[in-house]
Parts: sequence; structure tokens; C-alpha cells
Amino acid sequence: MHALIQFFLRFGHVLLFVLMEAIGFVLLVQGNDFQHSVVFSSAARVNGQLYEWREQTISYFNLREKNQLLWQQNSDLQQQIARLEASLQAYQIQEQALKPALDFDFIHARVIKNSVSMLSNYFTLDVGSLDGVEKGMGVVAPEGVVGIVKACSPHYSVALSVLNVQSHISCKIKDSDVVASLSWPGGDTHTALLQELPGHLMWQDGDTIVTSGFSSAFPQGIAVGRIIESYKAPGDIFYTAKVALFPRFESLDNVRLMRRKLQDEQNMLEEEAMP
Amino acid sequence: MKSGVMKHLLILALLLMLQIWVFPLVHFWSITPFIYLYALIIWPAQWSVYANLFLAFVAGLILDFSLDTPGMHSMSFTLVSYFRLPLLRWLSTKEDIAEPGEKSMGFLSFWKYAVLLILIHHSTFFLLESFAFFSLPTLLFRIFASSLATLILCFFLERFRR
Repeated sequence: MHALIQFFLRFGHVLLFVLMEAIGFVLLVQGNDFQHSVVFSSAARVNGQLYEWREQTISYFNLREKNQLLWQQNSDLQQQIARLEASLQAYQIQEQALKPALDFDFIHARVIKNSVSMLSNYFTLDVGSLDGVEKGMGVVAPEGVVGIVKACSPHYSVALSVLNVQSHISCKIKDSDVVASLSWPGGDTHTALLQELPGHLMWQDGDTIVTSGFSSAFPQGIAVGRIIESYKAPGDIFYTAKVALFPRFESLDNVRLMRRKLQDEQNMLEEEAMP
Repeated sequence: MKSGVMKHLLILALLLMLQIWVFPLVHFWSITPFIYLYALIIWPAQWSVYANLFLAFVAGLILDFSLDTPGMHSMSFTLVSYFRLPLLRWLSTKEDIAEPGEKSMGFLSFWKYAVLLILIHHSTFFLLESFAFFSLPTLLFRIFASSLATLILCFFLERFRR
């Protein structure tokens, strides 16, 4: 007994140190689960409320720029509406021949917490499951795609940023059939990589990258970025393209969440078809 | 003695708040300085290993849960807190310094001690971060760039010591 007490007096701090490191390690290897346990993460009630207050305080900065952007977008949309109406009239398509025009639901949200300086970046939104948010919804800023919802609590949700080394978004080159996956290698917050582009298909620097519509998170054709340069490693058959991302991730603010309306139906059907 | 503990807890709380609330809003490319390390650097030398470990672990957990960095802050902060006292004893030429600082230790030995702590902490932290995605150039760049940023901030804070 005496020896045991002696042992603890001598090596107690070693044991405590090892125990603490072990707890940290368990958190680390659970990694993604940590994000799901919204109780502890930034989506928790108290933390979320605090971040919301901070967001309210700092949201007055860059109002001018944001206004400018909204104006720009508004006029672009108006132009687009005018063009679409014109072509609609020109074609005289019957109403029943049109597919359901708006296949996607939208939820407006604000980014109340954001990180860009890690390799695994997340941001927190001020809407949660009570507002209809679900895991897997796409998040889009006025300029383009910014992330995918990873977890949600009743009032908040956490999204995996495009600037996360675990993020993969199915994209394609606009006006073509070249589909590839967009990922982020860390570091620069303005560029991402489009990998495994087939070598025989043609594209040019400056081509716009949009979502492919193959995943349920985003409809087809949402802006992502623009190709700056593409290259091929010696001996490789695929090309890699550097993409300048449109959104400015350092100052994310107003975003929309998207969800395909018939997603549940599709999921159920696919599950049924699988053995 | 009592007021000394309160003072250090207050500094730690203040730096943690800065780290959680203010630093994510400021962007130095994608470099992350860890200003809260300064609180640990100046913890008194008489504090027991247990006090060091416990305080660092709790602070690390607070950061992990606020910044969505699973286990990374708690592991790296606990690690430096464990090696802090031996390092201090090894690098300090003077006997019984109350509180590490330029004044009490001398310019060179204090900064040697601070740089070593910062390097140990940042190396552990970014190594753990690279569990998600490993690339040696990225890792080395992040360790050295962030260490430099933290060091500059610590140097700045040290000017304000009385």
C-alpha cells in the first residue's frame, strides 16, 4: 500500500498527462463525429447565441460593398428574367410540357461564425432543424457555392466549407460535359483544384466552373469559380486545373441553403433498388 | 500569492477570448497565430506540474469546443504545459525566478524558452491537424509561419509587461 502511494506521488503527473492526452486523442480520432455532436460544438445553444451577437455587431462593416454586390446580382437576375421571358414567348411552350421549374427549396441564412485559416474549415449558420435545415443541404453565397451542411441543432447548423480538405464537390465546366471533383489542398483561400480532368477533352483557361447537379446538394449550374491554369504531371493521364473561387470566404455573410424537393423520394427509391 | 493566481487566470481568460472571438476575424493569409500561448509562457515557475496540466487541459478543451478543432488544442496545450517546467529549469541561468519574463530571466534565455515552447506547441498542433490531409511542404510552412506570427505577437505583449 505504501509502495502504491509512493508510486502515485512519484508518477501521478505522468499518469495525469497520459490520461489528458488520451482524452484529446479520442476527440481527434472521432474527428467527424465531433462535428455531429452539436451539443459540444459551435452549433450548441450558448455558443451559437454568443456568435450571433458577434455577427450582429460586425455585420455593419462592408455594408457598402455588400449592397453593391446585391445590386449587381439583382440587375443580372432582371436581365436574365427578361431574356428567359423573351425566349419563352418565342418558343410558345405549353405549360404542361415544362418540368417543375423550381426543383429546389431555399432557406435564407446568415453566417455567424467562420474559419478559413485551418485545413479543416467549417462555418456556423443561424438556422437549424426548426427552420427546415437538414444534413447534406448545399450552401450558396451570392457569388457561388461555399459549402455543405454537416450537422444541425434546433437553432443552428454547421457547414463543411469548400475550404476544407475533406470537401469534394461535383462540378463541371460550363457549357460542356466535362465533370470533375473540386477539392481544396489547403493554404490559399482563393484557389481550389479540379482534379482528374480527362486529357482528350478541350477547355481553356478562363472557363467558368459550375456545379454538375449530380449530387443532391446543388442544382446544376451554380457558379463555383474560373480556371486559372491547368497542368498535367509527367506520366499522368489526367489533367489538374487550378480554379479561382468566386466567393470571398473571409467575409461570408448572407447565404442560401438549398434542398431538392423530391430528394426523399429519390433516396427511398434508390434504397429500394439496392439489394 | 492569491492575487498572482487571479491575475494569471484573468490573463488566460482574456487571451482565450481574443483567440476565440477576434482572431478568426483577422486574416493573415491563412496563418493562425496562437496568442493564448503567451499566458502559459508567463505562468509562475512555482506552480506544480498538476496545476500546469489541469489549467492547460481545460483551456485547450474550451478552445477545441469553440473553434471546432477536435482534440488538437487540448493535446498540444497539455503537451507544452508538461514540458514547460523542465524547459524553464534547463534554460534559466538564475535560481528561483518567480515569473518568466525578460526582466527576471534576461532577454536571451527568456526568448529561447518562449521560442522552444512555441515551436513544440505549433509542431504538435499542425501535425495533429495534418491527420485530415498530409502534405509535408504545407505542414512545414504552417508550423514556421504560424510560429513566427505567434512569436511576434508575444514579443509585442512582452513590451506591455511592467
